[in-house]
Amino acid sequence: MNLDQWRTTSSVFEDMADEHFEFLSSIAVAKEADAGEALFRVNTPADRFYLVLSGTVALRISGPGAPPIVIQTVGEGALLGLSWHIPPYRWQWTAETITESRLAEFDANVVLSECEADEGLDNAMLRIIAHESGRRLQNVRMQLLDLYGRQA
Amino acid sequence: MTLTTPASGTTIAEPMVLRPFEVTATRQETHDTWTIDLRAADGGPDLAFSPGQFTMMYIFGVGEVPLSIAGDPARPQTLIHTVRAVGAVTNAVCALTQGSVIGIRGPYGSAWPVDTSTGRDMVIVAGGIGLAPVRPAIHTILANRDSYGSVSIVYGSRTPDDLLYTDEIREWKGRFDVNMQVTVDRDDKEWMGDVGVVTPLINRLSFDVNHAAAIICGPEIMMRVVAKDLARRGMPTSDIYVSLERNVKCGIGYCGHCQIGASFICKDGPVVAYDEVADRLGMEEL
Repeated sequence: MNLDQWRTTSSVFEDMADEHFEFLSSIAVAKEADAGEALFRVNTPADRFYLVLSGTVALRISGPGAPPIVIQTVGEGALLGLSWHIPPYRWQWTAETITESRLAEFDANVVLSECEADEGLDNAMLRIIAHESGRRLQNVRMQLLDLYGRQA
Repeated sequence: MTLTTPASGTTIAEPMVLRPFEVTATRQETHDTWTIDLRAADGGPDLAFSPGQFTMMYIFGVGEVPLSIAGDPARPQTLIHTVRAVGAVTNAVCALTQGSVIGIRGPYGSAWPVDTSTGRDMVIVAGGIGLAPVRPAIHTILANRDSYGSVSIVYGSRTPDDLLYTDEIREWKGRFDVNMQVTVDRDDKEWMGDVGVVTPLINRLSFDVNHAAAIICGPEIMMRVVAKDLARRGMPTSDIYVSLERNVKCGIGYCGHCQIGASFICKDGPVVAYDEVADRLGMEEL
């Protein structure tokens, strides 16, 4: 799948070597999802991840007797799915499209196998996961601050 | 005593003297926020202002408070303020009814770089009540749409019920020449939009970092994070503008209550280029 347009526009591929970007492009599979489609469900095996090409995807969690809670949405250019790289390799959230969406899907097992053979790719993927995890942590901290509810 | 406001160039003969204004309409925006329309009740001239400026509003017998102007600069006959009830004076403002008379001083302060940014891509990021001070800039930019490059507006709110100017947001979202993104910290059952902070939405915007101007208004922590994110994307910090809020009292740079470092927010601000204040924002106790 040709992902060239995302090479510079998505922060996912920032600082990634060309050969690693080309590897990811070569295994990417185009996926189209209707609004309301679950891309993965909480506590099921995390065996893939996505780059969102268009549309909006909600990360949500459900509790008994209450409607699902959306903690975050991700959109164009964003990485969707981190649990494939972190034990116990099961999804921590359910991902459901809010709008009709286009995605690039990556087989996590193929990426992990290649990471074993290519230390550079392994480091690159770890950097992506760490960067994205850090950004999400920062964003959730900001949400917890309830900035708009404060007086200043 | 005279005062020339830096943004509009208007000369105010007696900057501490109040002008009477009459409330012509009030609208409840959210559970704690009202928009108040006013007109001059002294037969004097309209209150011409530049986007980003503020007035001092005096509620007789209660007190005075600085308020950003939220109206359209092209329609100065109506002075519009959007006010969140958070204290004694703002509670009194939000309780005003049609026909009430209050006192106004101003307009004061610096302006958003709307006139100086023609030809550039415009990135406007607002959070919470911060949409009110940027609304005049949005009106001006959209009224002169051909004079600008791409126009992106990102607005973050606490919940869907806390969104301001919902009719206008719908209108802006419907325009093909505006990229309007809205997000909330917490959704409700009906909300079908984005959830989360504003920064991930900025990454979805398309603009030329070397030929753009950013207008940011909201909680100071939010403005810092957004400004840093834009700078990380390559936008010069001199092209990023924020609106600061401090304890403005006199409004004309005399009393020093709103001092931040070597600047007075009322006189040198509230709108400032980020590179002028970046080292002072986030400094504890300042």
